[in-house]
Amino acid sequence: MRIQQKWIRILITIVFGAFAFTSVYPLFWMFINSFKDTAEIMTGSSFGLPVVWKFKNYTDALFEREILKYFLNSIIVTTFTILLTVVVSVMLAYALTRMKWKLSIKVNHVVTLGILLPSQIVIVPIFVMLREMQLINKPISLILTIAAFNIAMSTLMASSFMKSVPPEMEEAAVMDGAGLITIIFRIIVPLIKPAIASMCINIFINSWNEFIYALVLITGEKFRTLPIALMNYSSGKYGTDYGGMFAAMVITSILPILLFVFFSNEVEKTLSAGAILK
Amino acid sequence: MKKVLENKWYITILCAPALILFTLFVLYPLCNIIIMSFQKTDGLTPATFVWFKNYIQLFTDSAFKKANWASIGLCALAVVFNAILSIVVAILLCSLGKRIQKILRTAFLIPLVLSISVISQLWLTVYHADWGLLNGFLKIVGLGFLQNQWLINTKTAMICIAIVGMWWMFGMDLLMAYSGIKSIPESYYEAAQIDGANFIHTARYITLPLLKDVAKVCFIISATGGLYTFPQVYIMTGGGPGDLTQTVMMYMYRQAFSNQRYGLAAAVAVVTIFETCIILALISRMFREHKEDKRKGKTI
Repeated sequence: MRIQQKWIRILITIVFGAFAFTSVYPLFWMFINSFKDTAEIMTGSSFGLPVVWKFKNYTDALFEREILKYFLNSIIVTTFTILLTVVVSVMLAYALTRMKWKLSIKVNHVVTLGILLPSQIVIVPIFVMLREMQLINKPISLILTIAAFNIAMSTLMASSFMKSVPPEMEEAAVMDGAGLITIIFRIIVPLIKPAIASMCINIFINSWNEFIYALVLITGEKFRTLPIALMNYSSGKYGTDYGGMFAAMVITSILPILLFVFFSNEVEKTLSAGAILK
Repeated sequence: MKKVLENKWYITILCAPALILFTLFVLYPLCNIIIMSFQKTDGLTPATFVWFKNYIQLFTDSAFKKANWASIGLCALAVVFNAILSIVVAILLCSLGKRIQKILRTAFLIPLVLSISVISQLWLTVYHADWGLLNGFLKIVGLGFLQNQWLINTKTAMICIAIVGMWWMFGMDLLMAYSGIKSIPESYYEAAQIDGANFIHTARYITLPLLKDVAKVCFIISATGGLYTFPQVYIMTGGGPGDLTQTVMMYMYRQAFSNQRYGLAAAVAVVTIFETCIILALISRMFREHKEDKRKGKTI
């Protein structure tokens, strides 16, 4: 419902505009600073554009400080997490929504419970368990952990969508002699594409940004992911290179921001759907 | 069809990978922290049972009490400034034009998709005493006397930490409240308008009551988010100055990974889960009582 008085609407717009400005300006400031020389950041005005645009910050960060390597590590972890989670959750969702077995309702309850659990609470036993399995400091440990914590949400997303898909096509396929694998990957997956897109966005945001498990499970430098590499950027043998640090921050944020810019409606839908399922 | 859907083998094969992962990484550790909380263990040497010693040590440690109150304070702040404020903002936002709605919503949502690591680093520089954005801004506006060493000053450090988390998660609550309002049928408002209701009436008697379930979810998400604050503290202050900004999660991390006291850390986790349950119960109760009030009001 619209407010009738025009001046109130304008007042609200101005107040919210200022509010939204504080939400965006620090990010803009980060972007501008990533082109400034460290000396200029520290002594020059906090506002305003760089005097000299220093694009070398980016090449320094990417190659000399090996942000490129950490970027690839993050890509690897995220890709495999998405693949693993999507495949196993679609399979589980199919079994829970279509197949008839005694325990299905109970399993559904347990999985739903998993959504409520904040993942970092069990970090100690997971660390001890993975150390006994000698998986610490290997990307696989991070992939398995993040995947496990995303299964609950993904399964719910897939199964709530699957319920709205009529089963006639599967019945026809069975008549034609199709097996279970064909049904799931040839019929179900194309039909629930929107749900799979939501799952992918959700898992991408979670695994790309994962902090505490990446911090604890990947102790060495070789397989470190971006959020952790960023943390060590300003401390170390190279001294403080703030320009480069801002560049590294922009590099870390570039994929989520591109995702948001190009698929903003899907991202909004995913985030709100994910929250409502809780 | 029946043959395929009731085949035990198929069901097992479909469920196995997801359930094994889920059990191994979610259910088993959850049971394991309860066992570990009764043990003295560093994970390497065999664990010995010490029963309630960990809990006794925990409750007599003043640092834990302090951390606990810090977390609960963050939780309360998040509920007020994220959940309640975002619902108010969402209601007012819906009264504006379509284009402005979209622009403002996008602005509030962007921080949400970024890594908390980037956000903490960014705010670390925003708060920087010498060249930070905040001090620079205060100088320009002519409030230079307010300039501060934000994260070192004992008066401001905790508030600064709280602001980062709230800034990050504000979009989440706003988005939920916003989509909740958008799912209310337009016809309700049209009917109210014909009856001569103004904006405040419709907000009070249509939007808010219908937003109850969404509001509950907002409350739950903000409360748990505040209670489990960790990366901001770890990156920005490391718990300092002193142990002023130490939260429960930071305390748990330190006990486990700096002091190798896994048993004690597990006890912290158990206490925190317990607290979370209490908070969730309180929130549910709050929303239930309101509903009963409504019903009473109607019958009268």
